[in-house]
Amino acid sequence: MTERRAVARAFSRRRMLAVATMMVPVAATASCGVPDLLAPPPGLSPSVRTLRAAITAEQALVDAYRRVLDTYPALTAPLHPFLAQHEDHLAELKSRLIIPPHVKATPLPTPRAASPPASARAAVTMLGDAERAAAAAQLGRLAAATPSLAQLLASIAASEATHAVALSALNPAGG
Amino acid sequence: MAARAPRRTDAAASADIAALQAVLAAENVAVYGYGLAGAQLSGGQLSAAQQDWAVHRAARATLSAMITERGGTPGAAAVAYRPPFRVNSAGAAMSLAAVLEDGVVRAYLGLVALDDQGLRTFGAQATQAAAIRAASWRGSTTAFPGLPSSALRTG
Repeated sequence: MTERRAVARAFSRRRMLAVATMMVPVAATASCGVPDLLAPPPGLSPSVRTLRAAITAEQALVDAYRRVLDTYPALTAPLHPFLAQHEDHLAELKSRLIIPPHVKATPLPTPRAASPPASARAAVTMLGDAERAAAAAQLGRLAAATPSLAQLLASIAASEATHAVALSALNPAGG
Repeated sequence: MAARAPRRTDAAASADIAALQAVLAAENVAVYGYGLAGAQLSGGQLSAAQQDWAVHRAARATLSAMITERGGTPGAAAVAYRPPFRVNSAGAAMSLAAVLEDGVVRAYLGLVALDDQGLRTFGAQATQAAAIRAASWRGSTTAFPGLPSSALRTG
């Protein structure tokens, strides 16, 4: 009996030692930043989150132009080229968005629709302000973007800046 | 002991200087080109060209200082540059001004691809300013200033 108890104690000690030996590398790797085998797969990278934010902002601009053109069809000739360029921006940004299959990304937020401005002139002013704000916001996204995405965002921002200047020179009738 | 800020690697510093040299080269072309364009312009267009010429001269000085600060030697301007087409009318002069600004936009976009966040922001702001001048001379805007269609997936 005593012998059996001694064997059991020794076995238990060996098991503890074995478990402890196995745990050392696990603890060491965890502290070295090596990915944990059981950890959930990584989420969206900062660059993808940046891209999603840019897509949401671009969609908001496209929607704003469409609402203005629905309300003031007389503005179609001067404004349609800008809308078309925003649609190009949106298509290019979306073409770069690849969500890995294991990542459950929340759907892109739908921009809130603002009520149409009270006059054509106010609508143009509103679009100009939106273009300026969008161009400035792109600069804030550069740090988290890959070099290629940063260049695309900077180019889109430059396009938006030119829209803002062109809109400020428009003087639509129906004031 | 305080942690030391990570030093820029030699490769990153060289890339910064090379990109700044490319922008300086584009600014040198612009300074020369606006001289050619100005000779064909008058009135408000000449004033605009003179204003833009002054902007490019100032940018050239800024870029030279930035290159020197980083241990580089600013590239010298050529004595003359061949324009891409004959500049013998006001219309051709305005087209040339737009082409010059396009070149400057492309060069500044090169800075936006660098790791240095300060240079990225500086490049993006200068890209916007040059794109506005290009659109003003051309009379129309573009969707992707400075980006060739080969850089676009939908292009």
